[in-house]
Amino acid sequence: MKKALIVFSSILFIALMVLPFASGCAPAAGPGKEPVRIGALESMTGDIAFWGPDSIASVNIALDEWNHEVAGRPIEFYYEDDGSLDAVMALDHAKKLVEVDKVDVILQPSCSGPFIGMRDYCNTNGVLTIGQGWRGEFVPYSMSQEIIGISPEQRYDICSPSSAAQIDYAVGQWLYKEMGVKTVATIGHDYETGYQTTGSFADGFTSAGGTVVQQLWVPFGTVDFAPFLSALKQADMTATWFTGPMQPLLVKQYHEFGLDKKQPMIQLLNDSFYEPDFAELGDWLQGMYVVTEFPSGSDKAIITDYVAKFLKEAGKFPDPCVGFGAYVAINIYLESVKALNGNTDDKAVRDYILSHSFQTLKGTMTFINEGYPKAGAYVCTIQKKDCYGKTGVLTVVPVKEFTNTTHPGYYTKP
Amino acid sequence: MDLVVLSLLNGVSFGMVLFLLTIGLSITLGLMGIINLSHGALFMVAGFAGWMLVVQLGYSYWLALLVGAIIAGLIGLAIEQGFLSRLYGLTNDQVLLTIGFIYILMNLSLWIWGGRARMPYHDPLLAGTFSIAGWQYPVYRIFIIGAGLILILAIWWLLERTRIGAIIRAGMDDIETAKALGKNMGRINYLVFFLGSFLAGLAGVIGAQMMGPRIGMGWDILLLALIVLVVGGMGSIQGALIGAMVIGLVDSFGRALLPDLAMFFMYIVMIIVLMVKPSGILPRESGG
Amino acid sequence: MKIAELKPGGQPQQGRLVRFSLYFVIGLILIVLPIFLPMYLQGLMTKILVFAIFAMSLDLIWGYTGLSSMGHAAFFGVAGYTTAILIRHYGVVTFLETAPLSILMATLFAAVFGIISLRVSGLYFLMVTLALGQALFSIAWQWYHITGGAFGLTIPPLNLGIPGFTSTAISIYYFVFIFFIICYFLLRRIVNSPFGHVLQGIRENEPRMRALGYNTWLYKYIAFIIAGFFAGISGILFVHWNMLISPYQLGMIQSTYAALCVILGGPGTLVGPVIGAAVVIGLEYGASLYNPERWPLFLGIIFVISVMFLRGGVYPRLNNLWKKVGEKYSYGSTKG
Repeated sequence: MKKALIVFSSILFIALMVLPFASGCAPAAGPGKEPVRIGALESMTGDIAFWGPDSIASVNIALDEWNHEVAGRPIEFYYEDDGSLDAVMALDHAKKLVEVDKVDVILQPSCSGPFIGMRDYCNTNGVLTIGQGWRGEFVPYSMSQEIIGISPEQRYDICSPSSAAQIDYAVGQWLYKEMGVKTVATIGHDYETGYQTTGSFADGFTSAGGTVVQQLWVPFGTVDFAPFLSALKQADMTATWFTGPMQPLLVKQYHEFGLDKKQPMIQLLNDSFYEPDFAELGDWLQGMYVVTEFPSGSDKAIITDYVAKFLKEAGKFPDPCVGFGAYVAINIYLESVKALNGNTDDKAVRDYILSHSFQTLKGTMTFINEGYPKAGAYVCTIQKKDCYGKTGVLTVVPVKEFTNTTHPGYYTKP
Repeated sequence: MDLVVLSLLNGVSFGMVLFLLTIGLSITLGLMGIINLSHGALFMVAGFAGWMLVVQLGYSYWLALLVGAIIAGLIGLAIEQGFLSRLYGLTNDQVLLTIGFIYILMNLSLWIWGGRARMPYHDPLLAGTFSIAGWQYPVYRIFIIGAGLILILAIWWLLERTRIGAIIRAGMDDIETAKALGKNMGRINYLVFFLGSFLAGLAGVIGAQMMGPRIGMGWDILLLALIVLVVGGMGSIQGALIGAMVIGLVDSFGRALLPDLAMFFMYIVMIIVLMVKPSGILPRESGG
Repeated sequence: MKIAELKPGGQPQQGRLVRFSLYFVIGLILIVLPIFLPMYLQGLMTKILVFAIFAMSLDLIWGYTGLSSMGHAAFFGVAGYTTAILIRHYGVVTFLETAPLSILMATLFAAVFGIISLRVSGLYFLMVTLALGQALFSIAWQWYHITGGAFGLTIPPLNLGIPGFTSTAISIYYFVFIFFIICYFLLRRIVNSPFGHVLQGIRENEPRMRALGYNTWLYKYIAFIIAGFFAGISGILFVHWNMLISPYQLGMIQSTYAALCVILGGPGTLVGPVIGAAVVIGLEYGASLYNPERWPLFLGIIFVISVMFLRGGVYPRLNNLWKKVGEKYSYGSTKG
């Protein structure tokens, strides 16, 4: 009997702990209008935990610009952890954002795993989600589409910016056609996004006429690239792509092996190799090619204005993926809500986004219901520049701009 | 042939770092039967502290080595004195407690140093490369091997040739006898736990030359240490050393030959050892 | 309300009355209350029951047999993945088809891992189970084509093959609840049986049990397999509730999660882990609610505090507390 009593008291205890959250946690709207609730899934812990704070800083800049209100409605911002790569945690927290915080929109997690984890739930429940940065995957969406039976009309996820594949494919073509590079070796991260970036690049390069002499794949968790660099074959250039901290590490070892002078490196669509890394690595980086959506060293006012604000807000350069992407996403959302006179109905906003074009940090952006919008990016070189009130900053300066690239398809490991 | 030499050197240097990390765990485990799962987090914290000192603040690497190890030692000691010492013999509680500390240390490190994995760092003295077998091999890797050998000797000397070492060994063999020897076991616990954690910190800063500090290490490197212990055997220098070398070599050769499956070789080795000699290759033979 | 009426020399009337009202209230909470809760809380209660089964299965070997396994999530995850793989890659759709195979896989893995892990004991055993679970995590992470790699596998809502059944938050809750009740009673029977008593004997003093002629290895092995079986049940319930499984459900993070439920709740009590699951999940939500960035810090602090001040787990403490309350309201000796 005592055991039963214990069970009872504990359940009561739990209930008391949890019930406060149950009663429609959304704070009561004060006098005035119902707030617009923006949710976000951010990488606050885990391997990619540096993206979370950058994204939040980016959102804060946007919200400050909008004065924390849109169409007379105050804006509230809720964010939760996606554990970097944890699909189940992302789903858990997405449910909390939707069912407890009652958000009107969710900024998607930056990494594909957590995104896929919560995407089906959000789509089935008609919750609008907007991407914060480019994506590597495409087919897994279709797969789950078959399973759950969601038609394009029932999709509520706006895939912001572009796919990596479309950019890197174009880069591959450009390298051969316009830069006279005849042979190339690739070193890619051995997982889906690695295949999208490096694979599409190789495809673009060969379809233009070039030869890919070798494709090396490096698994997660590699701390030492020496075995791979020892096996690297001779070529005009080496194209590489790694997520997060593996890229600067590769670049560093590449330099230590003396390869960066012999066989110049180009990093494919930028994930998070940026100014703080450049500063740490050193001046020898100058001349290295980097493909990015948001070059901080650009001369375009729209970009430099933003970077200056970010430097002020966060004390560092914005990350080339979510550091800019979150700002873009929020603005698209708020502009749409404003145009709809404060209507935050998910379907209405989604339809509006899909039928209009937006002026953003990435230039003009349009969205389509299925797949990826046409989009652009830049090929840059790392150079020393005097900007943002500092001298001799190592940053990425554009040498070539792409616009209107198209998604070439899905790449698997060759 | 080049690849073999390269992998050999990589494996041995990685093994040295693993040895330093694991020997500390082995001693505290063997002496006090205390399981401190946050041992890996100490490795991580030292690595970050060193990074901050060397890369951000520009201090000497050697200073960072000392400071990192001391910080790890102090944190380990604090955990032991404040908490673990009251849980003598209660495995469950020790496990829960030290897992709690993994979460705490990892999140505090995230708070202080941010979530970005840092790049490896070393002293400028150790920059540059050796020419070995036609390849350029980094000097700091050779240093790791050299420093590892010296430290092995130092630890061996401490345990085999000093009175304190004798007491520690006696304690590991038979705690009643050790008490009968009249020394205050409490103070020995103090010292041993500090030493074990100090070594973890030392491993962290030395290892940071190869593996940039990363928050996730708190769990990952712990897993490696545990595999080393299982393979090599607990409670002895030889055990930790051979376990570390085996795992280090398996890892580096695995990555060189079959990068996809490199991780699994380690598990396979562990399973083989378990089926053939469960106590590990060279565990401490307990006396009386 | 005067509920005491002592009959001299016998079981007090109050005992039966209180017992009845207690079961009634528990029944109300577990059976009726969810209907009135918002969807989110229904999901939360479902999650608690799923992990309660998982934790109870671990308690069988951890609390009752004294085997500190840190790799128990392996069987939980294997069952979940088997279901997901069957649905996604083989088009097997109904629960009755996927469940038996999934539970079988979990049990098989337990049989194999048991042979490997039980070569050692104590801390070694802990380390080995940890490593084995982590090995599965790596496999799931790498083997993209089958397991979906880091993305994991999503499945459609539960299909019971019963016309008219739709999977909603509340129907899933009752579905899981039924399994919870069944598992609880089964496990209770096992731990109270002679077999269960041998297990506890092994936990207390294995050499003595061996001296008494028991094949302790065999008992431990069987317990390990049974625990894997029940973990498998919780695994399939998890994947049907969550509709998503990822490699993290196989590895040390999930295993330590279960261990925490057991240790926090009170090992070796079966009820303790149930409470532990409720507490851990509740704390998790509480912690992340207050600060999405610092939740691991709060969690860690709570573990430290609970170890230092709640030695033995929540349940035994509550039990003691209740005993004292019971004594206050009883006349003379009351055992109830």
